[in-house]
Amino acid sequence: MANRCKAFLSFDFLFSLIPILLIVSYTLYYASFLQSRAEENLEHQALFNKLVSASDYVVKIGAAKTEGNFFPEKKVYPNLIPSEDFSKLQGDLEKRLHFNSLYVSFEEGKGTCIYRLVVYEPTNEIRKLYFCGE
Amino acid sequence: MQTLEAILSLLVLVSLSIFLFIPAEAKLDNSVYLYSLQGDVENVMHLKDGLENISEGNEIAMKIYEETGLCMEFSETDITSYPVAKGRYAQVSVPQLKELGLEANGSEVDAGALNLTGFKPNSFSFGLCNN
Repeated sequence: MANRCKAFLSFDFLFSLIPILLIVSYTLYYASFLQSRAEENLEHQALFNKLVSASDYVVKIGAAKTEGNFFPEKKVYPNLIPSEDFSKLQGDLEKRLHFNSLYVSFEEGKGTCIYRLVVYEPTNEIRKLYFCGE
Repeated sequence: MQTLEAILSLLVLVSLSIFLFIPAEAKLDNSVYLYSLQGDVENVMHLKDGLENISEGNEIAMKIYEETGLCMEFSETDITSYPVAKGRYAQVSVPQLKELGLEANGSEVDAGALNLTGFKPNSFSFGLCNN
């Protein structure tokens, strides 16, 4: 009688253990999925913030029109862009801000992109200057 | 044995309910970016003399709206990029003026008893359109 009871108990435990294990494994899988998604979001936010900082520097100092060399003669015109060539600035910022890739241009590129509004001096047009990075 | 099962089930249930309350997707915080864009619009307005000339200012505002899809409002001025169909009127919310009537070209048509005294770039706002 005691042995029969034992057998029933084992079967009962076995059947309840399967769904519990399934639920535990699903929970663990979902936890790791949430964690990886949170990491992705954080990375994306960090990249976005870096792009905003880089764009701020480019638009206000890096690529802005400058007159004179030293203070007080030096004059900077923020958002007034005299040239379309950003290759030197791009390489410099890519290294300093640890971007895998950075693309600064009047055309939209690959990866996460933001734009800034500028006046392109040669045509006096309002244009969007794109900053795309990975 | 039943107690063990109950404890395990409870643990699983609690952990599952915790995960359900965690937001799956975090929203990107772009407040600094929008603030920088607002600075851009102000600089562009200055560079193109939009703050000294109302019609020029309106044209620039509309051009920026076309480019970005974002609206701007200058309190105590009638410069705006609020999209209004030709021949129609629209009420635009301006923080200090409360409401301003605008026609297709963006010029002010009905400011009621409001006194439009001039440009105040400090009361400029830029962001998602109200409509």
